[in-house]
Amino acid sequence: MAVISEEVALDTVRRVLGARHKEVAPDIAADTQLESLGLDSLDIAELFLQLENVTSTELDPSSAEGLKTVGDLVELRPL
Amino acid sequence: MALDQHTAEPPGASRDAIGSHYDVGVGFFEQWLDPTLTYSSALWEAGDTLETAQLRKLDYAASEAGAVGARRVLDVGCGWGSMLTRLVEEHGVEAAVGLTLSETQRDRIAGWDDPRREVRLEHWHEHEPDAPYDAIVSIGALEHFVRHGTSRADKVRTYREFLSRCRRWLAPGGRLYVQAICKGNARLTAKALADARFVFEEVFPQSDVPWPAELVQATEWLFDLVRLRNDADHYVQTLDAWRERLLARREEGEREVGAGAVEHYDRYLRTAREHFAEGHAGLLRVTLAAV
Repeated sequence: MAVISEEVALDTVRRVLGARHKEVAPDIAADTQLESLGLDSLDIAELFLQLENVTSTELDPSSAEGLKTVGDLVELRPL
Repeated sequence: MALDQHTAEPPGASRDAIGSHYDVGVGFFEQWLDPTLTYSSALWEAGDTLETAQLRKLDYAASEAGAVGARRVLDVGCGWGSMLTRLVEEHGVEAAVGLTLSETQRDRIAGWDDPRREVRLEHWHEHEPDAPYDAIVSIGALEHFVRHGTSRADKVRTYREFLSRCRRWLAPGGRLYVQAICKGNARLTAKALADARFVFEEVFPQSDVPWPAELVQATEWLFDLVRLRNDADHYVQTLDAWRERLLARREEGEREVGAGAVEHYDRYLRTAREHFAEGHAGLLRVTLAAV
């Protein structure tokens, strides 16, 4: 069962972008490519940590392989 | 489609990225590495000094690779030449060939003017041996073979390309010995992430380390796994020894490369030590036999 809603995923992406001093595009959506937002692999690790904090859930790092879009974050599974 | 090996861009860190860390001046590294200038984890036993532990590591690599008494041996990522020297002076190797992307490392070894020790300023992707090798070693170089952010599939593909070339360069029955930092399974923390950002953005740009499984997967149908050790604690001990020496000669170092550079290397040694001690990183020593 998904522990991350699309809304939480979008909010978290915006927060990490802001913290990394990257421009927060107004039209981020579920199909937005993480790479197109200027997020590198370390930023995606940051997203992972933030989502763990927000959901108070230990997530399975192996489910983070192949993350491409904001919507993919919803697929992260608990450990 | 097969890439033309002579025109395709070599994978991993560029020469500039390598130079940014290794080419600050050999005099600085002489101040805090052991006298052989071996810049990778040692292999420690009780009573060792940094130098004896580094020689023990070089001897272990030579033994595992089957390089003792061999005619021709390749060292991929030869650093300042400690392995090449150990091979020809202690292990009876007739020709030890080293590859490096660092000009200061190349210059130091070339300056020895010893026909038994040959150094080439070459990426492994560019290397074409004059004759097969009886053994190959690669110590602390694999960390530069892929860039940070590379997908798991692409990392395995690059490691496999390296292993495939090694197998082609080896004489029948030859062995390859690899020592490399690997990822550890400790849970990521905000501090560990910030430290990783420092290491991969400021210390070793354009580099990344493998998961053990990525390297092992890349060996399939090319090499049999003979032995695999994870000696993270040996890297902790090595980093402690380096840092103790760096701090003991801090003023000398600052005169050589400047206070900012000394602080940068000090922060790197501290950060790396924590990563190994806390399980965010491991140290692979892998012995492989060509099939």
